[in-house]
Amino acid sequence: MSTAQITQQLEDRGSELPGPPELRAARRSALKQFGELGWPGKRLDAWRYTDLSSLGDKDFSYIAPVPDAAAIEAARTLLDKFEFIDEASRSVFIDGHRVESLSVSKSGSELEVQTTALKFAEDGPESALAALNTAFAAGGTTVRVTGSSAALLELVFIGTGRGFAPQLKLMIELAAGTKATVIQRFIDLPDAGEAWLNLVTDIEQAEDSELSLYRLQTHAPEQYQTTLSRARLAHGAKLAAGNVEVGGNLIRNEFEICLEGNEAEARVFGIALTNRQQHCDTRIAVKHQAPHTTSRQEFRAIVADTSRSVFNGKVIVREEAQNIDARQQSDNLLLSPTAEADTRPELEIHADQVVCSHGATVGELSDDHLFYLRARGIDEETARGILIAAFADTILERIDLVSFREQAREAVNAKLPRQIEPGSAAQ
Amino acid sequence: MKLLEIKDLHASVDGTEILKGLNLSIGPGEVHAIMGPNGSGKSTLAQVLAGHASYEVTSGAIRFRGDNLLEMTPEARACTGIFLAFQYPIEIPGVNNTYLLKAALNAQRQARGEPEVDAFEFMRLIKDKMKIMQISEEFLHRSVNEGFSGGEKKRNEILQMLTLEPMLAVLDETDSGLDVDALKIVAAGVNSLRDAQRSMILVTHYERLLELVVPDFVHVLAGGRIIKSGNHELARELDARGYDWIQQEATAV
Repeated sequence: MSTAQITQQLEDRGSELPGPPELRAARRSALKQFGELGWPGKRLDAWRYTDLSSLGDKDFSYIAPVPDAAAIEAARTLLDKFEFIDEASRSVFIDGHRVESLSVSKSGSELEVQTTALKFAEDGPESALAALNTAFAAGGTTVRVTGSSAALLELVFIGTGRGFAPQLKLMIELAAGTKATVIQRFIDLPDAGEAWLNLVTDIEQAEDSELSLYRLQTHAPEQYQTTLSRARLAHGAKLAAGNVEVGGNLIRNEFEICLEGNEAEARVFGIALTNRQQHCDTRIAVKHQAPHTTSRQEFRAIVADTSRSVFNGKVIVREEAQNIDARQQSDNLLLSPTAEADTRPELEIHADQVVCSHGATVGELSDDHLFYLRARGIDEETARGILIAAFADTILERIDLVSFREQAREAVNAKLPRQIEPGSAAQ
Repeated sequence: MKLLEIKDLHASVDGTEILKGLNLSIGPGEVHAIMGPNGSGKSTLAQVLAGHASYEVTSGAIRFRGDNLLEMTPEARACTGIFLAFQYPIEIPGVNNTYLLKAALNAQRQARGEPEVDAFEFMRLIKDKMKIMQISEEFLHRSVNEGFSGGEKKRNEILQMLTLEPMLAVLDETDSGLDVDALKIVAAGVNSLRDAQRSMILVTHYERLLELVVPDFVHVLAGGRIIKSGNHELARELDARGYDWIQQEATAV
């Protein structure tokens, strides 16, 4: 679909989108900006390994209708089969629309989840996808954490897979000294066809707040998903972002993290399992803007068949950000000769007092490890499964919320060549 | 019937022939020590028995309990009762030691048509064996061999052996690198498995293990063949005199 056709969608159906009339102008201007920037692809340094121009050829509808009763019922059936974290509040979205009747609010949790008026950044979005997101944003959801006890929230994004390309905006705000765990799950209705979810999450962490942001992406096979999470951390704030990528066709998960206050700390870690012709691209950019800030990036990929996994970790240290500690590590396990892993560390350091390190490995399963297990009576397929699960487990162990860690482990296990019974992990 | 029958075995690594016509037969309940200088083919024999793909058998035959061992995968060999205690047990990061043990035991039980054991039964089953090997429970929950000392790795191998209760245990220089105390623990573990049915091959450089685990037969392997066989006295003689005399004797014949 050409940019002109996308513009036509906004003109024809823009009135279905929420917000006051003055927002219309902002949407138009954002879409104009999108047109100027074009689909992200290889010509952009940040998109060296992933080209989205094929999305431009799809006839997606950028304005997904409010889900009907049948869709909500189908979603309910799907959710019933799901295991959630008992004590967590839950917000459910279908094709980008928040569905109140499927959401659960646990009493005692001191957080608000509201559909809020869209606020567009005054200086405007700076990337094509953020611009497109602004142009078609169906509504804003704000998660606000203010209480003294730790908040636990699950955000469940369900796709109907009917050719929609919902553009969703999310705000997560943590007041000073608060703690929250937010889990983002991405799933689709059975027999979902092609669809694309473009999610922009803005995270504001006030002083000494702590956020654990987990992502379990188990999309249906034909799904596209692009996510941009932008976080700003004030003095002493801590962010732990754990990412588990299992499903989807083409996935791009991007973080932009600004450590704005002294002693702010960001840990981003993830595991991606890809097979068939999946393409999964994770990009993490951490900006150290204040002294004594810390960042960790740790990412692993298990790449099978003709799939491709990309990791691009960037660290930018400003001149005034002395005494910072930034580390990143990317390890890749290739399971077939046609699988591809691209890993690219980037360091941009303008200060002198820094500890920065990066490492990357790409390898295959060790024959010696396989032989050892087989010599104990374990068949080859199971032995491979055990070793792959062990490789993933190093990352899964970083998930502090045990119940969620087990679910993430199950999702990873379900994709292994041979199911591994739980308990294989070292403690 | 012999438990293991090796006939005129030739095996190569990377195109270099290491075993050059080895013959060995082992009956039920027998302990055979295989000694010999470095590079004589001792470890190659151990790896060939376990089925390592890097070792190519170019001719000869191996029958184990009457079956053609060379046609079997490494896991099938393990399930039929062969256990190799590795000379250099490798570290497998992320794989829990207990998990490996239990998965291995259940794989072998399944292959024999026996019911699998659950976690509770498993712990009950290995408790005494852990005591013999002086292995703590904390140790079991760590990754396989990761961060273990040399002695701990060898003790872990023997714990696996005691758990899996093989018909033929092949110990590839399990005694090397052990101090006296660790050697005694390993020997106690090995002796606890000895009975009238189970057989063992002890590959070793030194006689000191054989003082603790007394072999029924001692063979000297040199140049890829067994050049002399005897009883425990032969091991003592080798310890006192080295290998040179025996190699000269063999060449002279």
